[in-house]
Amino acid sequence: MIKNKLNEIVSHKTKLLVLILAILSLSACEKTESETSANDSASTEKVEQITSESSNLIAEANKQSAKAKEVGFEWSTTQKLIDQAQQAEEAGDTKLASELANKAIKESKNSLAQAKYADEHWQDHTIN
Amino acid sequence: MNLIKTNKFHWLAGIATLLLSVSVHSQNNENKQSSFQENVKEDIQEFRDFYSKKFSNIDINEFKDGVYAIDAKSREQWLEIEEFAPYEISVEEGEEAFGETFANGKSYIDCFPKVEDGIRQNYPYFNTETNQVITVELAINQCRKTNNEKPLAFGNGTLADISAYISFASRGQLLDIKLPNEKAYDAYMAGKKFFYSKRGQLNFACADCHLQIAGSMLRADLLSPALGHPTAMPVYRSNWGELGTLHTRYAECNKNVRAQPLELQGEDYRNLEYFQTMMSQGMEVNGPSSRK
Ligand code: HEC
Repeated sequence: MIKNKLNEIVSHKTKLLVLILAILSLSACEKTESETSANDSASTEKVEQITSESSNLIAEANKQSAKAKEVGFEWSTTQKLIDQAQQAEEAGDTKLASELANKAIKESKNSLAQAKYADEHWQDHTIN
Repeated sequence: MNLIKTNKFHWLAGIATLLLSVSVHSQNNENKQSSFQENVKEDIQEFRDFYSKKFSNIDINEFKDGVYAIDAKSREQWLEIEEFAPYEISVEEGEEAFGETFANGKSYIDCFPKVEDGIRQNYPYFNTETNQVITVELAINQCRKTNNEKPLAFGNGTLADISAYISFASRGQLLDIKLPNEKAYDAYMAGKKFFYSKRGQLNFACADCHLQIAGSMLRADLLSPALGHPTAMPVYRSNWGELGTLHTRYAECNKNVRAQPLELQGEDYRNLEYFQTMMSQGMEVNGPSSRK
């Protein structure tokens, strides 16, 4: 019984690991394609690291903006930032991608704060 | 013995409190019913008072003309445009579409039997079975759905045309919006909250532009009073080059403050329309109309 559960968890974990590795290796492939095949494995690793940082930020930006959307307070500017970050990421400009994703995260947090403010204070602004 | 007595006492006291609270509760419900009706009545009065004070030289019933009620200069031009109204074709096409026979042999008239007497003044209404606000546009698509027809796109096109025809046939009727129960009051309050909440990157509420600074210029636009907003819908806007519904306008006002527009005919906009129309209670239906 416990063993089965363990197996299940382990197999979930391996599935997740395989998935992450697959994504990483895919993005690594994209990065290395433009580089010479003479590249050593060390530089590939570096690219991988940077890529995963900006793609993590993009994932976070998507998560935060989805939250803002759910409460109906998403700004019309945020998705554009995320799209641009994605494009920069695909073009290999991970620095720009991170910058844009960070901006999008900040916007989403501000819109969530706006939603919270509305919940707590909208009645302060009515005419009566 | 003593122990039992106190226990019994507790037990009795418990029942008494329970009974008391039940009766208080049902009384509360009645009080609530009348109190939320009262709240809304007060809101309507305060809303009207605000604009009559702000625009003391304008008769309150004029606000049905939107920005042209407060802008004498462009009013002249607008009245000329209304004579050869750009929405006339839409009304005709709307009437034609309204007469369409569905595949099952029925038509819109089965859903809106009193259309020719005027029905727009009763929209939006709160459906107490489904607990949602029903706008004219939603009702049109619900009629299609009931008759196994595909829904029309919200916002413009044929659906806006039919809405224009319905408004046209209802001209002169006075808005008569009902608040049937507490759930309806919740929907009303949600709309009220939307109206007064700041949104978007520019952090503006509807009330900021259409209440606090109504009558001021915002770039090239004079800001209309929110009182009377729904009466003239749908409108043909030269800027759109076509007819659009109230929700099309909501989406645009959201975009202008860099807020992501919400779903047309979704719950948020329908509740907002419920609140806005309630505020314009008693005003004359004069749609469709033209706008710049
Ligand atoms: C930044 C200012 C601004 C904000 C905020 C704003 N609007 Fe507007 N709105 C305008 C302008 C400008 C127009 C066009 C001129 C006019 O009719 O007031 C307009 C037009 C409208 C109209 C059309 C009126 C007519 O007679 O044709 C409606 C309805 C409306 N707004 C509703 C809203 C609602 C509801 C909100 C909140 C969701 C909102 N607006 C937020 C600026 C704003």
